[in-house]
Amino acid sequence: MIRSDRLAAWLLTGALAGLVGGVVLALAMLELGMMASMALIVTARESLGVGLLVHFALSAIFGVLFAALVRNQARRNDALVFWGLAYGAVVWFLDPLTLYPLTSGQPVTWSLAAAQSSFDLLLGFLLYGATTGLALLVLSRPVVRRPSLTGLGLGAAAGLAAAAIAAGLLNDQGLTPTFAALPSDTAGPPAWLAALVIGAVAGAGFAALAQRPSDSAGAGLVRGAMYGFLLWVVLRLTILPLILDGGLPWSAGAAAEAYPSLLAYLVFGGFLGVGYQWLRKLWRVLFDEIDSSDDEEGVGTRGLRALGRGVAAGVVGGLLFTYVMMQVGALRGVAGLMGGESQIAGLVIHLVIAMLFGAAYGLLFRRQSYDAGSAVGWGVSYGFFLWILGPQILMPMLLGATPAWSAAGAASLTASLVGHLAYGAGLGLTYHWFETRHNPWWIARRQADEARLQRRREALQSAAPALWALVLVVGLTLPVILGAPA
Amino acid sequence: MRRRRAGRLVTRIAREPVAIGALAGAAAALVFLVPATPMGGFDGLLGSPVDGALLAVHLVIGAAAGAAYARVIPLHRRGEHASRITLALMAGLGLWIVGPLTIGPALDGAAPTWSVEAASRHFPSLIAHLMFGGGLGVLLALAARAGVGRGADASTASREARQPLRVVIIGGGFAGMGAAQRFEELNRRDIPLDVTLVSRSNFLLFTPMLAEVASSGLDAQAISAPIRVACPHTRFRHADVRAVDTDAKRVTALTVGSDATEEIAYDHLIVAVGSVPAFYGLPGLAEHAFTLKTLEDAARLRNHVITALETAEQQTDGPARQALLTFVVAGGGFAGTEAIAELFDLVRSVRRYYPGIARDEPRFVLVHSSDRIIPELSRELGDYARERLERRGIEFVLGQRVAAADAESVTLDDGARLPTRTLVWTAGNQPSPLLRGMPCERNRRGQLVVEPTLQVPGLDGVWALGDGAQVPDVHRPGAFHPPTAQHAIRQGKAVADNVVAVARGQAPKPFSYRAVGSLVALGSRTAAAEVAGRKFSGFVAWVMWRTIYFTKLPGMDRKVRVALDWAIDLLFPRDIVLLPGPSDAVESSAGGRDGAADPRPAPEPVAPGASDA
Repeated sequence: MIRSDRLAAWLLTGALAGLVGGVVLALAMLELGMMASMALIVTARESLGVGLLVHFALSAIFGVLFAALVRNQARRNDALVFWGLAYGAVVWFLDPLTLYPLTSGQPVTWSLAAAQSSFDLLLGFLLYGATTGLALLVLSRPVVRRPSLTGLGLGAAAGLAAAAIAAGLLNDQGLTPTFAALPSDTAGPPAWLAALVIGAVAGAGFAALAQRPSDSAGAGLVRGAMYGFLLWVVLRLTILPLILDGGLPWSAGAAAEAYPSLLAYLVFGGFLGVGYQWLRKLWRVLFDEIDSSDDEEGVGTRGLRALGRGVAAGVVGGLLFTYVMMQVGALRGVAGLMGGESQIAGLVIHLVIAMLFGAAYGLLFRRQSYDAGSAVGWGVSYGFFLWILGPQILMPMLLGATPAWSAAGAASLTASLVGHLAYGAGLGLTYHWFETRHNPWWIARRQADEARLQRRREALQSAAPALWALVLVVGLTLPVILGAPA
Repeated sequence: MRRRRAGRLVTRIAREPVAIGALAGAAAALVFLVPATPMGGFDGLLGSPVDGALLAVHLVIGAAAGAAYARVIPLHRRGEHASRITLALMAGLGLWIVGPLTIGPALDGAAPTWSVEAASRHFPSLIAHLMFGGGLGVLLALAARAGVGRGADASTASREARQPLRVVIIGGGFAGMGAAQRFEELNRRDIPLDVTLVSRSNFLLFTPMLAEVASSGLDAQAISAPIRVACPHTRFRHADVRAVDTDAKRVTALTVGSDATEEIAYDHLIVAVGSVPAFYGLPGLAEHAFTLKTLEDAARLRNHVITALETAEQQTDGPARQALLTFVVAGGGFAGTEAIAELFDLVRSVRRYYPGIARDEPRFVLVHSSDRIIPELSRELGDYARERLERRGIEFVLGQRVAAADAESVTLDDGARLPTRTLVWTAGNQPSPLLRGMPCERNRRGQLVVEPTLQVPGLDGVWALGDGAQVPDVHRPGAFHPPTAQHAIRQGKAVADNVVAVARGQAPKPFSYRAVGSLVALGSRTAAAEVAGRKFSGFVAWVMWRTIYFTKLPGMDRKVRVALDWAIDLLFPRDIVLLPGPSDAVESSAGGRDGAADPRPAPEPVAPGASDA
């Protein structure tokens, strides 16, 4: 039974959090000169005062709605922020794309052009969502856990390493300054320094959000990549330009120009997420006498099993991918990796790669999905990350070229994106099927395990769907909105 | 009356997750149409003018997608709204990729491009699909909250509240373990089961490789998989079953290593006991013959052979030396043939360490009652096997039986006497003695007579399979399934399915399986095999033997151990370290006494489960 007073308090907190998010969004809308037109929702003419009132009323309402939606979901720091981010995308769709045209007497089109022209508001609403989530987290104190100094240090270390990788990739393209939104003619050392400082600070921030994650490195990868996206919106597109230029480069065109930095932040985040998990694990093994993994089978057993299952599942995913590649005639390109040209060589190389990345999936996402749905969620998220790692980074490098990141380039890879998503879905489902066959982790053997597994499962259920939803937003809408000709 | 019937129908539909999913899908398909209004009509989305038929197709696709979604993501788990809605959004995205981006062009006769141009063109449709997904997710989340669509059992009680079905499995061989693993799978499908496996040994012995353990080719641990690891969700009892009370439906088990007995009640009892060697009362066999059914047997035989070599090298007395160096195997089936081949490999591989033993001194003899060995294989392959082994110097005494044995010789039924200190008996098996106490029909060999469904007639809730049961072959009337691991594993699966079927009020299915083939290893990288009617021999068959049995080994760590042992065997000679343990047989005979008789304890009745199928 829901205690009504507690619910009311929670919803009130939601309204407050919504108002905090509304302040951030209002600042952005004032900067973009959009606030006065908000009045059109209730009156016939534009007015700044009425616009502000309407804006804050809507912010509070959407805040309450957010609190109601995540009431049973979020029990961890990062979950609330990521849910907020995903919620921001939904509100963008509901509010400026639907509610505003409807109430202000304009046609609702939901067209690509409409989405592109209100791209600035998408960023605004993502910011609104993230801030609302963060505010809700801070306002509902009991949920927050203070980060430990060790955690922050490990996060900073992982962030430093991940930033070095991302900056290195940008450096190859002569784009290092874009990581910190510096002018493109900035010299190398300052650009590198800025990137590394951002990396270390952002890494510590990630540790404060993710705390002591109980999930696998694969979940860390997805969480990190989405944290990278959050950073791109908050830091790269908002805070840094405001400090450096005093303006917001929020239009679809400007964001498309900043596309290389988006990829850099996603890569940075992905490596940060995995690195943080691994460092934590290493720390536990070295300095904690009681390691909770005592209950698990030996590394050999689970590692080999995960590898074998991953390879087999990779073949299934790879065959799905093959269908896409054959349709768009991309197999020959893959054959080029080994200097060949024939379709058959391409197919073989493609399947070998599918097996290798399947094995990596097995190691990263072991004991991570508990039903077919979550398997698809993780698999597709992994597939999306591979789309960045494969055709946009590794493939050009292996072919002897430097990666050339651009929104148009990414847009030309949408078929490959579809293939990678199909690969991920097939891989995740098949891997999950293997895991259900023998000793599935989500079925406890003892009462004590039951409670622990339940906690793990709840943690997954609360945070993971937000990440999958974000992958959907980042993975699909961005290449289309940014890459398609306006 | 009609109203009541309609009410019942509604209740039934409300329980069915697929029906709820279909309804939600159809409703969400209407949501899909919302974007059509501002975009100048339905045709803007589906590419053709709206009409009744198209609308119907559209709703059917929506309903099918919803039904499939509700089938995959169960509605009975509450509190997963976020994941339900998010995954439904993903499903919407998937439908967009499959529909307008893939099937759409295909219907127009073009290849799908999935290009950004195509994606931009179908952007409104993307929104519509995401709205469909979101709508479906929200509707199903509401349905889950309202408690509808949770399957037939949901209205009576939750899964936890239902009394789990108590199943007791006696025997941890291939049959028992196969059943336990299948029960674990069924348990995962929300069928509440409480399964207890009682076995005297706490591991499954992978018998096809037992001869290799006897010949020092493999470590004993490599071919034994702990039951607790293989069936982690089954309650395991390391115990001997002393009595089965089929009226009270209770099993009495004596815990190994203690005198505590435990009464285990069951709803269904699965008798999967293995077999023990049978000596048919032949004089001296029980005391002097080695058997090859358990790990102890294999270790004892290995130690005995190495001890015999050690002793023989120092033995100057001709006949005594010859007896030490003569190795006799009785029985020319799979087990006997593999045993003689492996013994030959062992002795040949380590002979160089015994310079006092000449190359042609060790003698290997296989005694078999019929005129062809391995009758389970075709005559051609049987002859091949014999010819290969004969070429190595192994002798065959065919058409003869072992009639008696003493410490220093074996007597055949024609009266001939073979001096030997080593007789391996593989010529007879009998079911576990436990079966003798069961109040039901048994065949001449003592196996329980069972229905094709594996039920024991006349005993409620009792099932039997594996070596201890005579299972009719439904494909060959009048014939029965052979007692091999291949059959036992399948019978284990079948019995688990049948137990669950009976518990649900459904009819059990007769066990039906056709063996894929048989393989026999002949040592020295040769084998003979018959797979799917085709015959293989030599190195190819040996590779097949190793590959097939390797993949069948239970557990990753066992595979690694066996692979390492095989690799070591390729590079190094076999090990001659005498392991402490089961046998020091010839140690006492080293003094040249009368053969030291048999150091082993007299074979006690092997408890159920101690050996496998």
